[in-house]
Amino acid sequence: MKNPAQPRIGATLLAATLLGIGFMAAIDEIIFHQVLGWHHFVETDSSALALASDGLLHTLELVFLVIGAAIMLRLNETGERAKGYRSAGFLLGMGGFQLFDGIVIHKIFGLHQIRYVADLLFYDLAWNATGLLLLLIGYGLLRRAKRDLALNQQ
Amino acid sequence: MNGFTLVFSLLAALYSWGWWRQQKQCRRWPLWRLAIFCLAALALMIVLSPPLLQWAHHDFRGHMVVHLIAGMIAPLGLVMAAPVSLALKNVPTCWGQRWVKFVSLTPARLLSHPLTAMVLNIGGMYALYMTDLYAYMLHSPGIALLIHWHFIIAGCLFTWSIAGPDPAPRRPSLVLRFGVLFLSMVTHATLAKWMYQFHLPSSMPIEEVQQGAELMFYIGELVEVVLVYLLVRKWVCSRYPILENSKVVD
Repeated sequence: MKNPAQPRIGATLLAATLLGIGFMAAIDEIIFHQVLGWHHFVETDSSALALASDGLLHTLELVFLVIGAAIMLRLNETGERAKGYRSAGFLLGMGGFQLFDGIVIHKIFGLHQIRYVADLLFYDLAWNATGLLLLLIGYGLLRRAKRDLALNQQ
Repeated sequence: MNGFTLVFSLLAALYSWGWWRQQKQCRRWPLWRLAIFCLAALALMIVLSPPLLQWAHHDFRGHMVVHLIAGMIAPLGLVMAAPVSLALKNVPTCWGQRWVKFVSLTPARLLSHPLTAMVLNIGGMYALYMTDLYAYMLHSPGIALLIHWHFIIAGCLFTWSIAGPDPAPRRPSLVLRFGVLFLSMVTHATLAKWMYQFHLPSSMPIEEVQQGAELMFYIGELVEVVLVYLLVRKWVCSRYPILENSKVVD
């Protein structure tokens, strides 16, 4: 092979982000929904609906993981995976989902809270701070990957 | 020896014969396809043998194991072995046109549409577990036989309509197939959770139902993930083709 394939930055980021979202959702779903049983996805009076919403979240997270994995495997096969963007996308996906979950789903839509206790503030802060931290690390990795790419092309 | 054994051993023998004929003519047909077809047929013969059917009759967990293998895992093997493609390679070409004509007929297209297949497959499960049909099935061997065949055929139809490798003109788009697969995953997982929580079917002991529902949730999901991967793989391969500069084909 004389000229190696041009890396696909967008596709690598997309695949890694999907994997990150799926991974974070799996952690949320497995630890908080199933093992600890703190909350369902949609808390309503009807437990049938709450269970169905858990089923939906679970399926979404699985599908994200599988699509991310399929794209990533293919990019490895064609040699188009962009170096450094994989970990950046993964952390961005994880942090982005955590923050989206903590702010939009918990607070704006109020579908469920993290735990049904009197003082929620600590849980909310810990939840969103984790998300923000992951997002920031992901952003740092993204900048580093961009810089490395620019240096390599010179 | 029962009807199931007869049918599936005949199918496996036919497939092997077709594979062997291709080998003889030096037209290669992948060995892994032969392997998954025969394994699937063997699995069907085992789970539908009298001792296992007895177990399935008395114990809900047994029923679930038989159902998962006969309705989800074995159809995956049968369909992914592309039996129609192999058959068409072994017969005169005019049969290829006949096959295309047959699957292009409106009734055939309606029946093999992913939505129809999903309703037959998942709808059948909702009917079986959420109504009295389950208790009724235990008392009537005829109904039980019908339900077993329904699971096998509906499972094959669903797998085929979602990710089947056999030739089918004017297949619904990848997006629609993906949507249907997603919907069926959600409804399958939800049914398993409801069965666990609300003790369905109520005619069986609760521990058996809960363990059976867990099996249904986890094993079912594993098979669905394989289907999702196969479907997404088709899309990804056309979206990101291997560039030609790596190999020269003339």
